[in-house]
Amino acid sequence: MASSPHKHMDVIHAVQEYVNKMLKEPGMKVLVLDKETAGIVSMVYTQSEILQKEVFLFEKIDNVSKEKMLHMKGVYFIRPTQENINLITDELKDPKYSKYHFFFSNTVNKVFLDDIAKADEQDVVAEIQEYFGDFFAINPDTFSLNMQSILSKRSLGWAMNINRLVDGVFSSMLALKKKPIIRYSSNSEATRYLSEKIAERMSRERDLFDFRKTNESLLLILDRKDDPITPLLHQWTYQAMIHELLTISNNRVSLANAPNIKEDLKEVVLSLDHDAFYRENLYKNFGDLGASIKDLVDQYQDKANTNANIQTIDDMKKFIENYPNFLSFSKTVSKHVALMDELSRIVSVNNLMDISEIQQELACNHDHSSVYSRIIEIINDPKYSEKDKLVVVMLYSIRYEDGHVWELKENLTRVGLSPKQISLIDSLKSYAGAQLREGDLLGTKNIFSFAKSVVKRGLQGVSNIYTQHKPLLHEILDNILKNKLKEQSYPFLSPTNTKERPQDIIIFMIGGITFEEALTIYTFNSLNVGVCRVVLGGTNVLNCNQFLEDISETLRK
Amino acid sequence: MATRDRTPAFKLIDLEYNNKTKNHSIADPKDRDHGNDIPLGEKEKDSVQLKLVNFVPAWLQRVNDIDSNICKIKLKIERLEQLQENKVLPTFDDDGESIVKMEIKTLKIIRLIDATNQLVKTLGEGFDLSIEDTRMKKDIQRSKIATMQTVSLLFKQNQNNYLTKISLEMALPTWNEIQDIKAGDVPPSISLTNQQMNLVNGIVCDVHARDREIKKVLSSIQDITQLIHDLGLLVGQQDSVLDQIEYNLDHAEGSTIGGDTMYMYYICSFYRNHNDNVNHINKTNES
Repeated sequence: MASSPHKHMDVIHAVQEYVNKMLKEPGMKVLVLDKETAGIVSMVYTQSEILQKEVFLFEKIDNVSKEKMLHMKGVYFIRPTQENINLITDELKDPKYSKYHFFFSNTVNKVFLDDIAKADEQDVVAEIQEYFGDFFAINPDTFSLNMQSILSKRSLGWAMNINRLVDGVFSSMLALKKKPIIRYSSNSEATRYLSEKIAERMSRERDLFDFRKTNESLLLILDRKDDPITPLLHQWTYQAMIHELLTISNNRVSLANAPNIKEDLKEVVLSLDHDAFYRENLYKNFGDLGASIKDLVDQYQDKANTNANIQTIDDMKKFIENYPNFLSFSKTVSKHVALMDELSRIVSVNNLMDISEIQQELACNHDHSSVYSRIIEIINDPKYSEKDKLVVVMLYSIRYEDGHVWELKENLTRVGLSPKQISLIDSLKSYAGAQLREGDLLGTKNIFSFAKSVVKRGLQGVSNIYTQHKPLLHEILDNILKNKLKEQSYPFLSPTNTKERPQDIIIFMIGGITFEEALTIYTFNSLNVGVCRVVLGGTNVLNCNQFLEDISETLRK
Repeated sequence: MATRDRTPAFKLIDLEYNNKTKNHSIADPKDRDHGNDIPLGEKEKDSVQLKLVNFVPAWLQRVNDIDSNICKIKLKIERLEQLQENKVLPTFDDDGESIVKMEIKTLKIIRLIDATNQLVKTLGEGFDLSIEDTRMKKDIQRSKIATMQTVSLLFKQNQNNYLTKISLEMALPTWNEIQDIKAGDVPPSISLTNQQMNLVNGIVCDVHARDREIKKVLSSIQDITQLIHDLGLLVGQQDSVLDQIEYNLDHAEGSTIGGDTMYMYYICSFYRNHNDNVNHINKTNES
């Protein structure tokens, strides 16, 4: 189960509570959202649920309609941006609603308040609140800021979006009611910069952090470049696979490219709150998932048979009473069968099992001779896609930075990859080369840990060759649990006397997180209930395509 | 989760701009200083108070009727439940008043559910609605249909519980029991032969059994008709992209299926199922 009993460190619950609170006033309301908050609310509530809170109309703040609705209250949940403030002030000059309740998803500065007050000539502003739901809650312990192309300070998006980045992390701390000490990755300029900005903001808004009682908490800011391997790997757990192969965007997945797909399944929604099958299986691997889908279909057939066998009026009554549940169930079945069908098709068409095997070998082991010849075979075999060939070489270049990268690039050129594609290998090195990384990504910096992993593998073997990789985050969490996270690698932003292990931890990764890391967090939390709880956030949730795109953006500078 | 109320800070700033001539809120009567509606010269004891203009459009006022009906239904269901708890079947020494009350209440609830469903369905009909009004109407219909669904399912559950209680208290007599009772009941003075008596008894029993069957069938059909009103109307939309706020905002005009469309769709499909099933039963009975 993905749902969490730890409501105090549950980002979905936090955003839901904000929404409940802003809609609790009785009466007919219009809920006005901006582009981002529309996504934020959609991730935690369905439209039917919001309708039950007497919200009878949903509007975008930039809706041009000027039709008056003076019988309605306008409840605005928006980001405090200059653009939104301009739209509000224009609106207040000729009010559309009887009263305005403004809920900003972050702190509102005095200039903005001033602008609103000036525009409020008709005294229609009833309240202005700051509700810190300024992030996209994906899982109870995972959130994203939906920001692309923010891999490093050199990325194009960095300068334009740094404030959004600070806002997002800042709001997550307030939504979870934490006043954490801050640590960052020592080899990363971006993490240090973000830490400083957040500390500055915390100091400026110190009254917001006046919580009565809080556990010892930590905000650890990491950099994607410390682990560039994880986003390049093919995934084999349900949620991660769907994102890798089909892309989950604000809980929505497009199946439009699936062959012979029915119209109503061209776009599906995957919500933890409303889809029990998804909730119970999102961390299951592909093999186990097959069995779960089979059970689901069997259950459906049983129900369908019962429903088809209507002999008496009592049967008919039962059928009608159960019909809504049956209909909902049948939709769930069709959705997951369609998803599994499409995933299987893509895996088979692209021979992803072979690719994943070599990827895992490169990510986890150090056996150059066998792996090199296999890579050459893959590059020369037309049954594998260009992208997979490129990614395999990129993984090789991380593992063997001084190896035969040049020869492999030549091979890629020979089989038709463009210079632009091949240049990503160098971009990856300049973004996340060995000299730039913090931590022991490949397990080779420490001779003891290297020897230990070799012996362990030799003695125990591997339970599943496709899922043997563990992200760097796994080791970091392990060190946090043992209270042995090296200060040299992850220094405190400001000197601290605390030696206690933090109980509540927010880990934020600049450059994006992956669903493999979300699974790592989920597993860690499940194993450490009552001891330590972690929430993972990132600039976005990466899949391989997005990561490659973000790397190519670093080239454009 | 932390929050911060900026209203006091805002009001302070607002005060700074107090010099400006402010028009007061134009719609919400509760927030207004009513005295300001009356010209100064007319502020006297006998002066006629100006009526506040109600800005709620006429079509939207029916939402209040719907809400009030829903409240009434809930209240009546509660009261009916209390009555049903106190009384299951009439006894020889009571006047049957409570049973009559139950029947009346049940009928009232059914009528009210019907009337409210009708109100929801026809909301906005006969009015010239703007595009935004139409969108709002659809949302209101979806919301109210969902509430009606919950309420009428609650009613169904109560009725089912009551029926279960009745059937437990009133175990129907078996064929042999009926035979015994009837045989014993026949006065000896009636001069019928045994063969004739048996025939009459048999016919009487058949008639009673048939009567019970017909009543049962009728009540079941009524139940089903009622259930058709309940309908899991929104289920089709729930858990689909059509129920996603962001999706609907992005496709505000074009592709959103509104409450009335959903209503009609499910009404039609359920009636179709219902009719199929009734035909099936009729055929079974005929055969």
